[in-house]
Amino acid sequence: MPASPSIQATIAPTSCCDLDSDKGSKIPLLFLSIHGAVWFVIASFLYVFAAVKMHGPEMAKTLPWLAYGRLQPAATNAFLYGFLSQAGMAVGIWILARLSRTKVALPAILTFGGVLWNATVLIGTIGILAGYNSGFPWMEMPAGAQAMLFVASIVISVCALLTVASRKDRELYPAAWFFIGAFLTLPWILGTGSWTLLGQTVRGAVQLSVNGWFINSLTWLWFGFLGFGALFYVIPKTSKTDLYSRSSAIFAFWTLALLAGWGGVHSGAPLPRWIITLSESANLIFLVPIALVVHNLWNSTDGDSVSENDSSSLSFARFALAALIAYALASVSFYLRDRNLTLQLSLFSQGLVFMFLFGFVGFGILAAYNLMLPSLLGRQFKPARLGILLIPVFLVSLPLILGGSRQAAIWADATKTSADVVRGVVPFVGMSTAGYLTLFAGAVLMLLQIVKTLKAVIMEDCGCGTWLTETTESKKTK
Amino acid sequence: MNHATLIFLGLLATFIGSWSGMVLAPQVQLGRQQPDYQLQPYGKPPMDGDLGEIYPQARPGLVAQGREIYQREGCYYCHSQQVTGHPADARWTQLGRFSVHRDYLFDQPAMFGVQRLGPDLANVGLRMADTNWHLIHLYAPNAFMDGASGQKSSMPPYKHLFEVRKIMPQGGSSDALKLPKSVEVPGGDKFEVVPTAEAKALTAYLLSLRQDVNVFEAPMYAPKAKTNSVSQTATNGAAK
Repeated sequence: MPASPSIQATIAPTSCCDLDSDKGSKIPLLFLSIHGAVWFVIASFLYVFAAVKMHGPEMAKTLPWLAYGRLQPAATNAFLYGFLSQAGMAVGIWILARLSRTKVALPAILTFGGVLWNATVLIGTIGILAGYNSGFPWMEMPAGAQAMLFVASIVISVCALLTVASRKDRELYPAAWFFIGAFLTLPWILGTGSWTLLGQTVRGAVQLSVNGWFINSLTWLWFGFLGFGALFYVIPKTSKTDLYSRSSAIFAFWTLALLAGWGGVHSGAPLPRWIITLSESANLIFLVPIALVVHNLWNSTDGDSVSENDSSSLSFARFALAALIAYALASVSFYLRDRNLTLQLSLFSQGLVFMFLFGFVGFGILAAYNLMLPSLLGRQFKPARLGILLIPVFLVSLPLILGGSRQAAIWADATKTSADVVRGVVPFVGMSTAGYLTLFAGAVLMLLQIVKTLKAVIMEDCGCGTWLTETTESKKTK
Repeated sequence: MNHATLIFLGLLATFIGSWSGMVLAPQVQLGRQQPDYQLQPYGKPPMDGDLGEIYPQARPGLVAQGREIYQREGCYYCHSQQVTGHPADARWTQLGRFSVHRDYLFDQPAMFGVQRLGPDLANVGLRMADTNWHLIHLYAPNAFMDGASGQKSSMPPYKHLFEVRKIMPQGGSSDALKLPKSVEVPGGDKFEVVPTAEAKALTAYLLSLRQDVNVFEAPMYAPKAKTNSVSQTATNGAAK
């Protein structure tokens, strides 16, 4: 392995508009970031509504659009594709451009890709609420929307990969490895998954294996790589230290790539035993790269961060690492065969997934948001207020994990009935509803903060080549 | 070394690896499986000259329409359709066997379920074969909850699958639900609740859910667990 070049050498401080890579990138990246924040509000609102419906199923009973079975998948898809994917795309492309010391390739095409992606998620979410559910978890959007999502992912990924291809420095940093991996594999996963399941090329329980493969691949190769990429960029940059071990990061990258996709089948699936054993083994071996990444990044957080933004980004990144550790510990209990037989079909899996997706990936992306938005907007962003978003990580995940354990224990007792299950999980669902409410409040706060900052930038000249000035000048030239 | 090429080829190889393992290999092993012949369904004693039945069978018509409604309403978010190897799962089967690939040959999409907030439905057609019970349960899920405990069902009422009509002078509809006294009809005694075609289709689908044939590849529960399941069948049916 080549010696680890300092990531600091390539990244200028976060002051406004001081990098070539940000010029011309603003419109597509702001488009993705702001729409990601809008979808965060929509998804968290749908989550709140779905959680409330668990307590009061009679509420709005004459409106079929608002049944729990429609709200929950709509919320999940809006969260996965509207918020997390889109925010991750913005952060990923911004970091790739910075590390490559180049401008974002084909910004107009990227904006078009963003418009297409948003239109698709909107059609898909409305489609699910209207009852056009495909029936496969994580790909409930109607088949047409799923096909559009695949096309949009190609457009966006091509722009991201062309940005790297035009890099001035041939060396690739570990953060870039993860983002390249994410953008390369996203269209492969969406295309293969949609074609296999929605194209009805497989039948019977093989559908369960394919759906598990799709979810596991998307979790690790897309969302996981976005989270790891963001942390491998944010932590060395904000702590002003070099990455502890480049070779460990690359080893973790390949181990994760090798294992992704194998762990999606649960222990009780109606499939041959060899598939289940392979899946169980992969899920436990995942702990190795997770431990490597945590050790590597935790040892890279020792420096002194200076600005408020850097400090807050580093805090978010540390929290993302802590959430990853919590996920790893909970997953050991979850993936052991005897426990997985009952836990898989409980709220536990929902809590575990939320811990990974929001606690780890979400906070990794938010840590990078704190650096990206001031750079794109040419104005300081006050991320400290977003501390409210820490609450739902605990208040959603932990009750669901504990409630899921209770739910599994009740079902495991053959003398208990579904009424006992409902009675047992209601207090935990109540706590998670409070968690979703704080998630919604945090999402609204984040969107307001972005809009407020954007409005201020538009209203006044910050004095160092603002977005407004740039736009006005370009209009004058025309 | 050009790392970008390495990343591309390496990721392509790992991606093809997991796809081959979790998509292609199961498809090669199970994809060409066909229904089995001369099987004896649960509860149907063999008779002279009886050649048995084909299992599973395609379920077109009303059942297929019902499956679309089950999919549309996202029922699989709270109900599973898979009997796993956990001993307590023996409560969900009358035959004492696990679910296997063959059970889902004609299910497109097969909705295995996200979680079990409500009971498993893999054999609900065997466990509760009363059409009227299912229709009332869809209209008012609390109708069959244990009133003494005060616990209400977390299942939403699917009112939009029913029509509330004024009873005609010449008499009510023959399809009208025979609701228990605990369920109030909007408008009072002069009105009746009639299931729409969608409610009937969904009920037909639920009644068709029955893994009621012992296929050779299906693992069986230990005898103790099976005994347990038989004793629980009535309880679960009533509590559902």
